[in-house]
Amino acid sequence: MAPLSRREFLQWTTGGVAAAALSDWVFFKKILWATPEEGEKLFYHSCHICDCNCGMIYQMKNGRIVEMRGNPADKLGAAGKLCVKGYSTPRLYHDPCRLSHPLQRTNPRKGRDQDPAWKIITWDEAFNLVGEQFRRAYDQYGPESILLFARAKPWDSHLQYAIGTPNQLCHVDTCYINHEVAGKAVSGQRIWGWDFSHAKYIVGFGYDQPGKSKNIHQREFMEARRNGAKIVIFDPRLSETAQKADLWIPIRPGTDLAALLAMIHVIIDQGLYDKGFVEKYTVGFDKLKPHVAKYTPQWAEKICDVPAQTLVQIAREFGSIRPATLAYHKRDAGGPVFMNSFQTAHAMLVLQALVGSLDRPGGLYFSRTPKLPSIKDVYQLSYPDLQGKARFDDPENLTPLAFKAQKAGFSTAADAILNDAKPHVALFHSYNTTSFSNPQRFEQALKKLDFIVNVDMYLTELGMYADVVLPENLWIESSGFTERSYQAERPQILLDEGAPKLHDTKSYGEIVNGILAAMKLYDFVVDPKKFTPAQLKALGLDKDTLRQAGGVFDSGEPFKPTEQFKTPSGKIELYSTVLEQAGHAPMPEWVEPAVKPTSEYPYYVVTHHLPWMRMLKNANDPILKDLQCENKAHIHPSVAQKLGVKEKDFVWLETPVGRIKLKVAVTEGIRPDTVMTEHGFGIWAKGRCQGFGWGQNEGEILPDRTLAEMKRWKRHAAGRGVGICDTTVRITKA
Amino acid sequence: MLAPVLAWAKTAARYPRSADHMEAVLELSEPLVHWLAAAQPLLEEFLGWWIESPHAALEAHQVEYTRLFVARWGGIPVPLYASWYLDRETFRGAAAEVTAGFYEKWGLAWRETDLKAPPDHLAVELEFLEILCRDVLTAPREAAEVTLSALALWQEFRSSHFDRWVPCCAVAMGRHATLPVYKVLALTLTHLCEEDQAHEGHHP
Ligand code: SF4
Repeated sequence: MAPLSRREFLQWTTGGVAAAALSDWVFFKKILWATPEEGEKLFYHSCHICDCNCGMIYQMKNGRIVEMRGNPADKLGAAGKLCVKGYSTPRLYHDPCRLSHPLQRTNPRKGRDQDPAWKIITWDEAFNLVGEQFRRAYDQYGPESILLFARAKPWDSHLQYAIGTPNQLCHVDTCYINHEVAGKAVSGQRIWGWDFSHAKYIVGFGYDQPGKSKNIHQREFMEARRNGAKIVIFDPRLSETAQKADLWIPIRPGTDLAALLAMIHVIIDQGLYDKGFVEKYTVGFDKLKPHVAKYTPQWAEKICDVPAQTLVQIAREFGSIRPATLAYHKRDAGGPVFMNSFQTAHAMLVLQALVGSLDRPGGLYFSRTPKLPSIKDVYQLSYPDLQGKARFDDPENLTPLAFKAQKAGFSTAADAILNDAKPHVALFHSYNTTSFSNPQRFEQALKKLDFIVNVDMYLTELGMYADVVLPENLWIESSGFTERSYQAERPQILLDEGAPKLHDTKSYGEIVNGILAAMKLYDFVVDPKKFTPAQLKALGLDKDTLRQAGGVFDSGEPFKPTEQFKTPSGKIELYSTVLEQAGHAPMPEWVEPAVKPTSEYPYYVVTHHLPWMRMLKNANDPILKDLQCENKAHIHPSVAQKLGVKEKDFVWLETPVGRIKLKVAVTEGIRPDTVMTEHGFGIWAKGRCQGFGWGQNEGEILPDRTLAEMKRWKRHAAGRGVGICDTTVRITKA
Repeated sequence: MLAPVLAWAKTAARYPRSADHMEAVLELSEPLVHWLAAAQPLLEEFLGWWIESPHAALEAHQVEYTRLFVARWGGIPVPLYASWYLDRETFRGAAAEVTAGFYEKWGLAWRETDLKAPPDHLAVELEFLEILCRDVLTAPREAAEVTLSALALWQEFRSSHFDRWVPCCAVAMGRHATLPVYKVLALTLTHLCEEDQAHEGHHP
């Protein structure tokens, strides 16, 4: 642009208008003294993208995160490394698609094709709207009419207990519930840590945490590899973890339980179990032995398509090489995938106990998080009694163990809402319709509710059914600390120094207290800022001490194996009295998968997470998206030939629930009777501008569950696992 | 002449929180129509609607503002900050830092408002230009050291930053806006950038 003269500039710009005082301006203030150039400022935080909670160090400059790296002081965690997801944090922080303000729907019609026509509202307006609707439901229909779709985290639980509703629904029946319920019933604890690095023999059933790029798993697993452990992976597909194993066993989907029962049979039959451990720390062996006599390797071979001789060999090695351990976690064969997965999780625990590596070096560890005061303790609250209040989705109390910790409920949520008049309003905290199998049915259920509030960082599919959307801080904007749970050798705490908030968002503690105040439940309204300092104080810590220690507190306590187990007998119960009393099978037993291939639907379907995706948390990252922007149908070459398709052609995957269209990927690394596709795609709510429109949500072809099915499966499904892969598919050329 | 235009544009580029805000958009629009004749029929359309049903008009503007600039089913079509256009669709990217540097040169610091408009938000940048227009004779020299004249700063800010993103933003706004106020804002921004271009080649 060519220069103007000063006179021209004045004429052109002011037009004779008098100068205004600086105080009249909206966006500016006068600098009273020159600010020195801002230097590098380093902060500590833990990564909250997955539960590894790797220690991070990040650098801020002029309101921007300019660098991020792993914290080398976090030796038991990521040891100075972040995975590719962790490194995406600065992009999440500066993501233009994050929610920036509370929003109110102005279009009352809801559905995939309806624009909610949002408008920005203030936080006060938002709290008043939510408070009014929730209070009305509370007064007219009782606290049970309020559904809370939220994890069992401190502020989520505070909201639930303060309101007094039993109806909190959590995703864990699509995740780790079977392992948790089985662990607590059999050993009194949940298994949440692994000492693979000291193991000499590792057997995984659908275990692929290293393949999902979970840092702690990866580090432990690779150390085991380097230390010469023998590794066997049972999986219908050649996963990343299976590729690093000595032996890959492409087992038939849904039959891992048979292989496990056969291993238990061989180890007991051939006297290979750890007699000292079994005698000292377990009860029920006398009942287990005759119970598993029928589960021979020959019997299992027919079911799981693995030669009996291979099963015998693996069982023998597993029983005689010490320490031996199973590798399992979350969405594996004992996770949520099949209706027999609770039995699988149960059998895993029994097998682990038989070889004496339950909470022992080289084995699986119980959770060892620090003992922290709860919100109830810190603020000295007295909540209404929830004891005996029936859940709307389990009126007959069929699965009391699953609901003990206010966990589970996703699998039957749609069925329960559609068939029950009780629920009226709901809050969703960071949950999305894509978290549910059969989302079409779930969306029908959402339309039945009077009012929905969605707390999230993005405008998601769920947001499209919400009446009010409340934007939550990104985790890197929150301050406090994180207790590490995955590395369970000893308690560890990581300092969280929050980056400045970029938007008009709030922490979840602030949101919960805002809602409670608007509901006039004043007895439970507290100052959330006092919570974490009080918790740290109880541990004899504060922010400064943590900072001086490099952002990590490691108790340094030597590992103490559990001697007394928190079960009724004080021992590991190979015959579980807890399960028996709750009306479930006390010992693991064979259960047929709910569905088998038919001529109409001839293929099994299994799912997988890509290592650079954490559900939909990173779905909006343009760089990660470019690594693989869509999910595919991975099929065996013989199937491709039969269908007349090649790499990159499209096929339809169809089940009784729905159908999705995917690109073909041909691979030898999968059973010919199975198709695999990746989870975390198919975003249709365009609020995530980068992730929108790529791939398909495999949940659209997977079944949800009914209360009637839960009743039928009561004996076996103590964990209420959703059985997300209990379906078979038809594949056709598109 | 430009200062009142900038004042109007800044007001239109902010969220219409209340009826008072809408009144301000109307009140400040008078000088605009002298500067941009095309604005007149659109503003008259808006005025008629406002007189007839202020409540509906306010909510329609709130929904339109949110849809265009903040959060939308379908992705935000017209982000109102420079980093989106200059830093590969980033929020509060390097461009925000650049603007803060300009403000500092004039002895000003960006102040966060309740809606947390970033330093490179259109409304903030328009207000900065308005300050340069109105305050040109009374630059706050007693504060931070001011080394540039308002004119030089105006020109540098416009050529190295503002004019690099606002025309794109205006085009997108013109394409997606459905209400007269935002159509006028798009026209205003385009005209502002074009008018400045017209001075090109003019030497004192
Ligand atoms: S493994 Fe990756 S995503 Fe998980 S906490 Fe560590 S850096 Fe974050």
